Amino acid sequence: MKIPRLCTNIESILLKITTANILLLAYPLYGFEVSHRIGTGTSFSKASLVNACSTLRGETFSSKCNPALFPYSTSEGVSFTMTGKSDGDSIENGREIIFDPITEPLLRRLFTEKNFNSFTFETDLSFKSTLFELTYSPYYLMADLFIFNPAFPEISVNLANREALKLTTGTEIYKGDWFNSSLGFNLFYYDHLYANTIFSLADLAITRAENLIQFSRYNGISGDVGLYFSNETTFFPDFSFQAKNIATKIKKNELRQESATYQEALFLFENYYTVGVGKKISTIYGAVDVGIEQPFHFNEKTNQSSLNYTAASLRYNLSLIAFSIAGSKYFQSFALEFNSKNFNVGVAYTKDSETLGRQKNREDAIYSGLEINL
Amino acid sequence: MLYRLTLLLLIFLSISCAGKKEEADQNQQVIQGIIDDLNSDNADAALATIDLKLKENPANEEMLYWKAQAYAIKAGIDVYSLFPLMKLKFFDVAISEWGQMMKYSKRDRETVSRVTGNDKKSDTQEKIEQRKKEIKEMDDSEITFEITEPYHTPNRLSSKDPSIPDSKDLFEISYSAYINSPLLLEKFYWYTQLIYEYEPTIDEINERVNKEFPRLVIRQNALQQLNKKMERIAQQKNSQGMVRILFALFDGIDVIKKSPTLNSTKVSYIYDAVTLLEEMSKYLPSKEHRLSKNGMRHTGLLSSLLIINAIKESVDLNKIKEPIDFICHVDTDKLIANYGQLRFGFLHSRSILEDSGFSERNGDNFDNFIKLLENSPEELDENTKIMHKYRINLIKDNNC
Repeated sequence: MKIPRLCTNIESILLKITTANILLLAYPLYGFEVSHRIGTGTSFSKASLVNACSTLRGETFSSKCNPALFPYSTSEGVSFTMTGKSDGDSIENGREIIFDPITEPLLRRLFTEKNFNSFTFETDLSFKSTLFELTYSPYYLMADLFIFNPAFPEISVNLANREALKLTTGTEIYKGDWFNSSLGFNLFYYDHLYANTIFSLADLAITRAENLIQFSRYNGISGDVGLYFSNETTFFPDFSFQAKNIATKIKKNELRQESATYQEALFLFENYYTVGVGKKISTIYGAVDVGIEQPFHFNEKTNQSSLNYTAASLRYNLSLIAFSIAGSKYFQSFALEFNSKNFNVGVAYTKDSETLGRQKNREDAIYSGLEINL
Repeated sequence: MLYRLTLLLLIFLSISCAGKKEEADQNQQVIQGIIDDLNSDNADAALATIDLKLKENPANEEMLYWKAQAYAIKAGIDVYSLFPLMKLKFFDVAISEWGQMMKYSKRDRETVSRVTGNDKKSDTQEKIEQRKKEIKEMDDSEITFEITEPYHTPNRLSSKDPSIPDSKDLFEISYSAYINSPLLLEKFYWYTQLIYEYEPTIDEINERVNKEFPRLVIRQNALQQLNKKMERIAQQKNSQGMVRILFALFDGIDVIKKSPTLNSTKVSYIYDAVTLLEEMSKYLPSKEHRLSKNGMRHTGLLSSLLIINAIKESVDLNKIKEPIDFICHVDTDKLIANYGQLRFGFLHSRSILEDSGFSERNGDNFDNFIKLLENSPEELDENTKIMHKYRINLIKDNNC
């Protein structure tokens, strides 16, 4: 066989194998990953933007998206915020399960259509000055339930209750004619109570619930670092980079990530990174912010699962009222916010698949948020 | 071209290294798919996937577990078919009230244990055993007794004849009396014959009996009486146990009626599911493993349902008005035909009974029952069937 023909044959084979590998990569390679719209240290606006707001500066919630945006925030004072899922299938199912006798139609619905149910809630109290922001979050609550196997029913629960005290600060590190950059930090103490377990209905029948679910605790100090690069052009985007939960004791559990039954909530408590791209376009009719965010982990077996978290957002701000549309592959939302000097309230209509497509039906839910500024 | 080839090779290598699908990822993905199929009530699709994986590795414990779950669904045993039973126990109250309900269910579980088997030896039986030991170890000198109601009949056997040397008067005394002793539960009748060379008085006879009476006889009688008492107590307990079982069945009639009805195909799936779960447990590292615990409990559930199904098929539940009707309205032929189900069910519910502490509370009776089942044949031959049919009909005739 002549060498050129040999090379052609090898090339052809390699091309086929590479194509096959690419196709394989398109197929999900992860276990039971779960994602949440509401994370720790969040706000309603951040949640409604599917966390794609790390370049959205000048808003009261900007420093929650990226501590490097702290220098651009001018508000001062005390604020109280609450964000949570207020309606949806999970809420309805939870209410029916806990407070009403269980019926057969409910059981069928739970197994066939809505075997994953989730509830998240966050509240915090902040004191903000031009130099720093001090935030106390008494509650970040997360409750994920996955019910499976009608032959011998089991329930996988992932519960977390987090209390944190956070200090945020930042500064501009470079201010030029065309290009600016800033650096910001969050330093926080966390007290993290969690339980991630599976029990059967038989266990529930013979054991008290408090003995079935044994909570463990992590506490410690962790931090976030954020970088923000902006420019004065109209269309050239701004960039951000963040390292989240540095030095946290909570690690991504790879066994749970590969498990079909144990849940792993990702991009929440463990160390991860984000890169963001965005731009604010100010017009006489209001400001439009667009952003794209990509969270990821280093040293992961595969980064394919991170692609499912890529989120994009668009926010149209008319000062007293703001509309936003945001989405990723599995999270979509439309939100409305009413902002005044002392009182902000928001409602978001969402269509989410917190199990990243594992559950066939997406959940239609309503998130609401309240912010009181003093 | 070489540049293209090199570039392609680099891409190929980088993608292959970065995106190589590991066996663990594949396995868990497969399990995800199986769980999703089972949740959607698509057991056939789940079985197709499972059988492929088991061909690669027949000892894959996770696949064996899921196969058993799929078979249980094929047998119609799932949370939906068991819903009427679960409603009785749990679902009639909201979860927020289960805490209160648990306090009462603990008492029910202990009741089942007391009802369905004999208790351990009672205090009386233990005392009897202790007493027997004392009597066996007692010295003869410690055994006292008294003779009451003595009666004697003299009988001259021979008279002395001066003409015959060595001739003498001989009297045979037929002697009877009641012997009483602190060792005995009740006095006993004793008879003997005594030889005298003169005609003795009753006092002389009594004195001789007092001296020569063998203490062994008292000891033997005492032990015999205690053994009979033990037998009576055991018989009483058996009868009580049978009555309690009948009452338990009567109390559980709602559960029996509401439990799923199984045809021969479904029974066969249950047999397979239980066999798979027991095979799976051999490959698991410990009994505390999640699949091991689930397997044991699921085995217990499936086995119990087999027993209940056998009862349901063998007894006309609509005619049950009182506990004894479980005997009177049993269809003997069907009961014998369901022998296999009953045997399988009791044998394989052993693990859950051990786990619940039932076997510990019922001691030897439980072990003896299990041994009896293990030694019994899987199927009865015709002669044995006829014998059992005769016995069951005899019980029915005697009680109904």
